[in-house]
Amino acid sequence: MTRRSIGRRLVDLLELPSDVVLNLPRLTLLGDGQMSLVNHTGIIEYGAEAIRIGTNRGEIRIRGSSLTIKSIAREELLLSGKFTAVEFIDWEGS
Amino acid sequence: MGFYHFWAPAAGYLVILIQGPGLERLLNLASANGIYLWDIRRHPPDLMVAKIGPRGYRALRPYPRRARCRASIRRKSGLPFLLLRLGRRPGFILGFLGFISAIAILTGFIWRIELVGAGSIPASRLRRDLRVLGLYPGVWRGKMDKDAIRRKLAQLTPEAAWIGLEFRGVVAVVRVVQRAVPPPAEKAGDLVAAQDGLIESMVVYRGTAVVAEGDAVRAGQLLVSGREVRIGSGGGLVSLAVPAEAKVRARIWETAQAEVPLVHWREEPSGRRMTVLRLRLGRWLLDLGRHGPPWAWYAMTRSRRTLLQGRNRLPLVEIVIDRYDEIVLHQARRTEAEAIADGAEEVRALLRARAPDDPPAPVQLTERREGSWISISGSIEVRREIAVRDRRVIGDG
Repeated sequence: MTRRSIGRRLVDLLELPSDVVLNLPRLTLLGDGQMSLVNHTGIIEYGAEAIRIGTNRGEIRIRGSSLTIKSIAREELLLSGKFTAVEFIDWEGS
Repeated sequence: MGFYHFWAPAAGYLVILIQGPGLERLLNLASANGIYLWDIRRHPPDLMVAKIGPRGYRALRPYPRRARCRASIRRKSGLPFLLLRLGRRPGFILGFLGFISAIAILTGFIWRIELVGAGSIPASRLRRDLRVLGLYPGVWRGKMDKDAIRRKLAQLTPEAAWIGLEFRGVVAVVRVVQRAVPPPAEKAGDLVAAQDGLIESMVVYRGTAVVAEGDAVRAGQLLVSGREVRIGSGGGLVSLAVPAEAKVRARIWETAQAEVPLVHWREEPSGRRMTVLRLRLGRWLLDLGRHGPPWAWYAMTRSRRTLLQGRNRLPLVEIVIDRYDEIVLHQARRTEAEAIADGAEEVRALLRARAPDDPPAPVQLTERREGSWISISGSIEVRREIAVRDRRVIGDG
């Protein structure tokens, strides 16, 4: 049993917030025009039609049009534009 | 720091241009070091525009080189930079302050007085009274005692039940509520006949009847006296003056007469015509070519072509076109029957005009020949109220 799966079990058992305890990325979508991502590790690629963002679990790829970074801070990233797809690439199971 | 962009217009911010292959790396370096960037727009292939606070820009300085980028300020925005720019133009600041001061001072005066609900109270009188009380266009309203002005104006205006005074910016609004005055008491008086007639019915409400049904009365004759005899408190008879009231309906004969000549002049156009053009320039009317027609009798029709309207209702420049048709007078002769018919029509029209509100009644006609004239007389019988108030006022006796 891996360390991560023990942590997962503990979180499930004690009903703790997994994004805080396991440092999981938290993705919030408002319709198809606004997105907030907490616990990112950095931008991998930034374009008007695709943005790739790194997290400690893998990579998140957002596709769409007129994509813009509204703000970027140490932990939180705000995106806007018109999203058509959100993909999780090389994602580690939790 | 995360909400910096909300108060950035007040705190000031920079729009920076970042160029180079490592744009994403620069973003990551900035966010990892707590430098907040917002409204980041990517322009391919290797250009990016972003907003950043002045302190953030200072903190960002070491990182573009590490990310193989170049960052430069494109624009400085926000209040501190605006004030800095204005500070270099003292004339502009002075002008701006002067403008604000002028507005502040000018709005301290009353420039217009608006009267609401004055009704029949003359506005000129109210304005004159207000001027005497110290409220007029151009007066400084700073220490004006609105309540005292309102109170004194109410004293000067007995026709007003209430007066309100309100300052709305540079306008003084004076609201007036007019006093509802009861109608004047009816004065004692008689009723007299408005026309000659034969009384058909009579109902007296107040006063004493002087005539009776079936009486023939003349215009101005007393019908109902404004005196009533009653038993006084001491038991004796007392004569009281009252406003007489009665409905007196009478048969009235309206008459009319017409005289029709058997020989008369009839107008006929001769067929000859002429047109005269005139040019009107403001007040002057100038003949263009011919003057008026050479005939003694003519009919004229006038038309206009406006060339320049001007600002007033009367055009400034116009062509006036007068068309004249010559008229020839022919002596014509009517038969006696035609003259009677024409005369009867005229008499009927006269009678209709004299009794427009009465129901139509048969017209009695009589005709008489007087030399070369036919005289037609006609009469109709109508029924009307004939009692009217005598203008003389009577007192208690």
